[in-house]
Formats: sequence, C-alpha cells, structure tokens
Amino acid sequence: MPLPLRYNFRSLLRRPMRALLTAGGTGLAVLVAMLMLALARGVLDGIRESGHPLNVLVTSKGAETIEFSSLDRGVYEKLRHSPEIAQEKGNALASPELYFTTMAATGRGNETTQAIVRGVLPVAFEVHDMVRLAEGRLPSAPGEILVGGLVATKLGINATAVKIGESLKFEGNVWRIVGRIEAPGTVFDSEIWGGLDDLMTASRRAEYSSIVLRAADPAAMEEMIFDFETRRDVLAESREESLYYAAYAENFAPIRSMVIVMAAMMVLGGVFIGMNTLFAAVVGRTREIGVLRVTGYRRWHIALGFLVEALPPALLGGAVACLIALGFNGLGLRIPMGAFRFQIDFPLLGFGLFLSLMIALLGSLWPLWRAMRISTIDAIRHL
Amino acid sequence: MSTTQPTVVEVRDAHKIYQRGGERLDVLQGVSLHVEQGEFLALMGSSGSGKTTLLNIIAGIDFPTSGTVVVNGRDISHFREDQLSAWRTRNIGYIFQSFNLVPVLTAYENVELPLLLLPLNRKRRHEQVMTALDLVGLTDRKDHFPRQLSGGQEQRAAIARALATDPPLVLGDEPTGDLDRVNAESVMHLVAGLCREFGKTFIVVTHDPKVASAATRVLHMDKGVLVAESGLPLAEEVRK
Amino acid sequence: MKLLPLVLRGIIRNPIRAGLTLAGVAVAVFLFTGVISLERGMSRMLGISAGENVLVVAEKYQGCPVQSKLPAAHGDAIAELPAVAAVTRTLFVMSACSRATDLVAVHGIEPGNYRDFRDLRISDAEYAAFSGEKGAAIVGAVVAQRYGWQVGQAVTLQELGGISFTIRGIFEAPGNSLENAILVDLEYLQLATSQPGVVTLLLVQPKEDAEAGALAAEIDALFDASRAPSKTSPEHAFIASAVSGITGLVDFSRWLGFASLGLIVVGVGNSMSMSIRDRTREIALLKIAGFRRAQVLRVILAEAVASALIGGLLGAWLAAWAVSRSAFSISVEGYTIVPHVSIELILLSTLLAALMGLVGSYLPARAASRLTVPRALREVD
Repeated sequence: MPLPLRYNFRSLLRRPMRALLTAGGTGLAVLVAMLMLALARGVLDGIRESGHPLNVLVTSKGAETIEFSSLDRGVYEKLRHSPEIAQEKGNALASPELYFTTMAATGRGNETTQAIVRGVLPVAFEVHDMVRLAEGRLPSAPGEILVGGLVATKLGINATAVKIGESLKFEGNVWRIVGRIEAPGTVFDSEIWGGLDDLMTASRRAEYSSIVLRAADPAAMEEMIFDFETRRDVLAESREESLYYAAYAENFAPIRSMVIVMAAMMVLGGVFIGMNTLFAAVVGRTREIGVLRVTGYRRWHIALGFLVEALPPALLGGAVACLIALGFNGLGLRIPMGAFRFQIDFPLLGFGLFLSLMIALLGSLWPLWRAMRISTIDAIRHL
Repeated sequence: MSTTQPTVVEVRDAHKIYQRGGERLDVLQGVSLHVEQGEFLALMGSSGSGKTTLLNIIAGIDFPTSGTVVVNGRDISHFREDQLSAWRTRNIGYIFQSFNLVPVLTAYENVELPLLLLPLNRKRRHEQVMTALDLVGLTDRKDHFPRQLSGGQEQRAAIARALATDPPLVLGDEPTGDLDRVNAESVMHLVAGLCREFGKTFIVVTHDPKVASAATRVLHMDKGVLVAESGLPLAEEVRK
Repeated sequence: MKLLPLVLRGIIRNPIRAGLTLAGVAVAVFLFTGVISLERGMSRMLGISAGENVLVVAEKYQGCPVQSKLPAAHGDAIAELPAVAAVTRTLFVMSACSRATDLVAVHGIEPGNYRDFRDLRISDAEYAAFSGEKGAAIVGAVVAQRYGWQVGQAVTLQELGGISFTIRGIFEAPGNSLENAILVDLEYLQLATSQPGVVTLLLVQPKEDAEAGALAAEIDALFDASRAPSKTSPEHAFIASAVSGITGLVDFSRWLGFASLGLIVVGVGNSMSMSIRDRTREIALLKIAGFRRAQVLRVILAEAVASALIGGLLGAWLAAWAVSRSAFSISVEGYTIVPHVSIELILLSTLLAALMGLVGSYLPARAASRLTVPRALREVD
C-alpha cells in the first residue's frame, strides 16, 4: 500500500467533529443491533433450551400447551413403571408436575401480578437437570416454596422481596421462600416451585398438568413415544420435550423478525451517516486525488486509502457501543409468560465490532466508487 | 533547429475531441510537435486554445483521440491507465498553478510521495528527498505543512517533488500564475535553471510573457492548432 | 418567510448530501414511528376493547384470564344484586395463553344481551340468523380475512379438538381485540368442549348510579366462601393486567425509539456541519449583504429543520403504510395487539424529527453565525 497511512489518518483528524459524529452514528446503530439481538436470543433460546433431549413430555390429549393440559393421577401410576424410563439409584426418573399461572403478591404488598407456579416432586431436579438448587433447601413442609432467579423480574418486584425467608401470597395462602433455584437460559428460571401435593391442594386441583419422563437412551425415547401412539389404556399425548419447547419458542418468532428488521434499520441509518461523511471527504478532496493521480498513484490506491479512513470512526463507535452494551449484561426483562436475562457475551461483542466494520464498508461503497470513477483530468480540473 | 540532441517528445497529428453533454468539442485539431532534450518550451495561447490539453497529453494524464505521442521513445498514446500511472512517476514531473501539495503532509512528505511508488529502500528515498529539497532551498522548512509555507515556498516544494524521481521531462501548467512578480521570477528562474543544469526538458503552459522570454522556444496555439512559433536566438543570449 | 428560497437553495445545492441526510432521517423516523405504533396499538386496544363501566368477574387467583373457570350459575346470583343492570356470560376456548402468531380464539356468548356489552358492527339480519341457530357463529373480520371464510361456510377447527360451526355473519369491531375471535352460542360451546355449566368470565353492567368499586366487592363477597371464589375488577384494569406481560418489551422498545431519535441528531448535525464548512464563503457574503448573526443562524437552522421535516414526514408516512400493510400482531393472554399509526403519531414523529434536526445542528450553526467576515473569506482550513 504505497499511499502512506498517515495521509488518511491525518485527513481524518483534520475534521474531528465529523469523525466523532460518524462514530456516534455507528455506535448507536451497533448498540441497538446488539441489544436487539440479545433480546431475540434471550427470548427464543430461553424457551428452546428448556427441554432435555432425552425427556418425553406427556400431556392430555388435544392440549397444545402444558397450561391447558390435565392428566389423571392414574396415568402417572400406569407410566412410571415403563421399562424405557431411565433409573437413578433405583428410582424411575418420572416427574409428575402441576403447572399453572396465578396472581401473586409479595409478603407485604397487595398488588398482584402474574406468576408461574410448578408443583413438583424431588425427582423433577433429575429430570430437568439444568435446574439446580443454588441456595437454601427443598420444601419439606406445606407452605414452602423455591423461587427461580428471574422470579423477581417476572413479578416486576425488587429482588430483595424474594430472598430466602421472605414470603409470597397466592392462591389465598402465604408461602415462605426456603430456597432459590437456578436454571439460567430456561423457562424454569422465572418459575416458583413447590411441593406437588401441597400446590394441588392449595389450588384445588385434582389432576396433574404433565408428566415428564427421562428416557434411558434415544432408542428408548422413540419406543416410549411410539408406545403412546398405540396404547389404548392411557388417554394422553406424548412428544419429545425439546420439540415441545422448540415449537413453543416459535410462537415468539415474530419477535425475532421484528428485531432483525429494527436492527437492520438502525444499521441502515448508520450507513447513511457514514456514507455522507465519506462522500464529503471524497468530493472535498477531488483536487487532491487528482494531484496524487498525476504523481502516479492508482485509482485503487486512493480508494483503499479512503476505505481505511472510514474505519477508525466506525470502530470507535463500535467499541463504545460494546462498552455500553456490557452495562446491560444480566439485566432482566419481563416477557409474556416469563422473563429472560440479557446475555452480553464475547460472541455478541465480537459481532458488534464486526457490524461496525460492515457499516463502514457498506457506507463506503458509493463514495469509493465515486473516487475510483473520476478521471485524472477531471480531478485536476476541479476547484 | 539543432539535430544533435535526442528527441524527447514527438507528437504526430494529435486530435482531441470531447463530448460534453451532447456537444462535441474539438480541442486539438491535428497538432504535431517535436521537442529535443534540454529545450525550455513555452506554450502560449488564449483560453480554449488547447495548450493545456496538449500539455496533459504529453504528460500522459490525457490521451489523444487520434494521433501519436512518443515520449522518450515510447508511444504512450495507447498506454493503458495503469501503464500511464507507472510511466508518469518515473518520466514526468508536473507542477500545477496552485494546490500542488497535499495539505496534511509536510513539505518532506509531499516530496516523498512519488518516491514511495518506486522500489527504493528508506535510506535511498531519504537521500533523494533531501537532495530535491536542497536543490530548491527548502531544507530548513522540510517539516512544515503547506499552510505554514508562503506561496513561493509552496511552489518550490512542488518543484522539488517534480524533480524527486529525476524525470527527464518537467511540465508546468501556469506554475507562476498565482505568484506575485518577484516570486514568479525567482521560481521560474529556479526551475528553468535546474532543468538546464540536469539536462531536463521543460515544457510550460503560460500567459506570462516574462516566462516566454526565458524559454528557448515559444509556441502559440489557437483553436486547437499551432499557429506560430518564435524561438529567437536572442532569447538564448538574454538567458546567459 | 422570505428566507425560504435561500433555505431551499441550500438544500438543493448538494443533492447527494441532502439525499443521504433525508434518507437517514426517514429511516430513523420510520423506526421510531413503527416502535411507538406498537405502544399506541396497545392503548388503543385497551381503550376500545374495554367496555365502559363494565366489570369483569373472573376466577380468583387465576393468572391467565383465558383459563379462568367459574360456574355459569354465578351469573344468576349476580343478576339478583340491586346495583346490577345486566349480566352476560362468556366462555373462551383458546389454544395457548400467549402467542405471537395467529391465535384461534372461540368465544361462547349469550347472543341475547351480548350486544349490550360489545359494539359489534354487523347487520341485524345476520345477527338474528346467528342468534337463532345453535351451531352458528359470527366471526371477526380479521379472522375471516385470514382464513378466507365466507358467510354460509361450515368450518371445523382442527385445533381445539375439532369444534364445528356454520358462519352466519362477519362482524367488524375496529381496534377491538374481538375482531380476532369467533363467536358462537355459549351453551353450544360448553357442550362441544365438554364443559357444561362452565364459563370463563362474566361481564356485569352496573346501574347508572351504582358505584363500581363497591359493586365489585359485593360480587366477590357473594362467592368468597364458595368453591369458585371470584375476583371482580373494571374491565379496563382487567385487560391491562392481562397484557402486562408485554409491557416489559414495550418499555424496552421505547428506548429503541430514543436511539433512532439520537440518530437524527447525529445525522443532521453531521450533515449541517459539513455543509457549513463548504459554504463559509456564502456565509461571508450573507454577512456582507447585511445579515446579522441571528439571521444567519436562523437561515442555517431553517435548512436543518426543513431537511429533517421532509425526511421525517417521508419516514412517518412510510411507516404508516408499512403498518397498514403488515399482518403483524402480538397476542397476549387472548388479547391481540396490533400496531396502530394515527395522524397524531405521524405529526408527532415529524415534529420530533424537526426538533432533533434543530438540536443536532444548533452548535455548528451557532459557530457558523459567529464567523467574522475576514475569517470566512479566508476559507480557513
């Protein structure tokens, strides 16, 4: 690259205001794009990752989602002895569960918000092995509950209100928090867990919502599901749990398209700003380009120089955007039927920087073409 | 006309036609020219006479629509753009009337520009830059930016850059046009003297009769053709 | 303003710059309008879907309104209350609690007095045909369009266990979430879904002079000790609570709106700052011609505001067009939110764009207006 870099860098610094504003435009676009992508990722992955590849979800016939499913207890009795179910220390990994939404209030407050509650047996922790007890203990008596890491966000309340020892009010009872569960990146993170029988009694329900079975291996899982389609004694439906959550996540697919459109628009806006700046540089230095050309510099030398000039403001903007984005890491946001946490990780930050380069590149296409196109004669005649 | 010196520039029946917005302009209408090494040629004529176009064709910045241009034995009229660029670096030194220098580079860096296109090592390049600056008397101002130089000093830096690659042909498009009388004279003196000293051929487009009077040959153009030539031996005496 | 030709000439002088600035503003305003349209859609839905003064009686403790279950008999008890003018029962059958894609919703209603509670635009003849026939249905215009249904068509829904009905009419209820629903007879639906005597919600119309809060408490007191306690609230609050799951996203998207406004500030500011530098001579000429500092400032700002206004109007109008053409909607707890662009929003977006243009160009414009003639003429680097 014979054209010295200092020519382009000094030219850039000669107009610091527009370099800064271009950086600002790029930064804004990149910041929004990163946050939007983190949102889409959080929402969709947060649901999709909730299923275990070897789990089979049993629901009542015709129920599209767990919320609308109702299973007779007898079904559980019939299923728990299936040979395909994985065993752990002699216990079958079969988890009957109650799942419902309710209106909950904090121990002190009266305002109720929607909360998701799951009644489980201890085996649920084996079947949903991405859930672990992070703090405290399992409920050992009626009236005790566990809360997921994102419950406070889901309820729209302060995290201190759901510390161990605090209480929540729902289904006409007061419940004491005795433990905290962690299941980051899954739906379970925004749920309240309690004893199965305890919750069934309190919510006056006589039936389970679902039964989750862990198959011993993939072949066993296929057996299990096939079995269901043929047996007559059990009125229920089964499917792979991961498929269930994948389908459920698709409900939010429009959010993903919306997010991509928004991010693309911001990027386009950033491109226009960068393009405007580089255009001014190219047109404003037409005579200079002519002098360089007469000296013997080629079109692509000069064009490459301008491209190099477009990069530092974009990268600066991108870097600042990354710094600001980091401030959002871990931030919780409530969504319909749950909540998620912003995850600002290295791949996302890398993407942000890459995007800022892309903005510079796209914004430079037309100005560079202009710089390449002009003939030496016309360039030296300018001004 | 002395035939002892080798021909540096040979233009044969050059035509240049521009199409500007549907209009056809015949800028050069069959120009033939023969320039020997060491000549100081002044091209004069009114605006639109084609003198600058002729200069630019010789410089390899523009190309004739028809006809040939042979410089230093190479027919450049059919060179591709890449070839012309490379050729120009080594064969041409060009001085504009104004805005010769890149504003963000120092005088040193401006002079260095053509040398960066040649396969020279840093030491050699530095030597050549310093030599050129020395020839024009700008060594003490080498790290100044153009805005810190006077008009005359800027032109001298331009001259240094034009000479940096030691080209056989130096061309100027009204190089003293923006300068006051005193500066114009000294700058013209400088560049003509250096060309003579190093055996370079110098072709200048000019309005200034003083410049013309310093030249060994003066050609007049009008409406795209050479109309007159005045190359008085008297001029040679005056110069000496 | 006599300065208008000067201002317009300034914009046209560098068409590429003007075009790029305009395009940038248009994109930003398009985004802003699109984002706010979702918010507006939500308030509009709330405003229209909630019946005035209507109280909703739902199952106590139920977090998802769609899943509320109460005995139909509750309606009789409520009707007895002195402060009650009318009661109607509804049964919702839906496939999911929250869905962003097409939600199929069937409402079982009591045709007799339903129209007292809901504003349905449908011909009386069609409504009468519907009321008279058990297996009949009237469908919302949005649903009808989505599936291409016609009056007289017999439909069986694959989802929801295969409910069948014959369409006797198509109704409109602009802005009301109901346009996404299929209405059938309550008892018919109860039988079809094997839920005899079960309703989802009861809607109560209080008498003119009745106090809504007191009536709500009274109704809940009726069933407090029963096996199906209730929670009664004004419909507006009820729906707001139902869709509260989406407020997190809506609030977040508002920040996106701010970011796009920021883009306008930066874009117009940058463009003006470059324009000014190119035209220092022109500014000097203006001053020589007698323009004072404040006037020069005004000319430059007017140019920035004009660019932003034109770009903003373009972007807002495009957003309005895009929203009207798109089938985008979000369903939360059975209520459908559709983005809505009103004239007011277009005006707001355009004016905000102009304001942001003003903000962005203020500092460069002020610096330019302060240029003294000698400096300007010298075309300082």
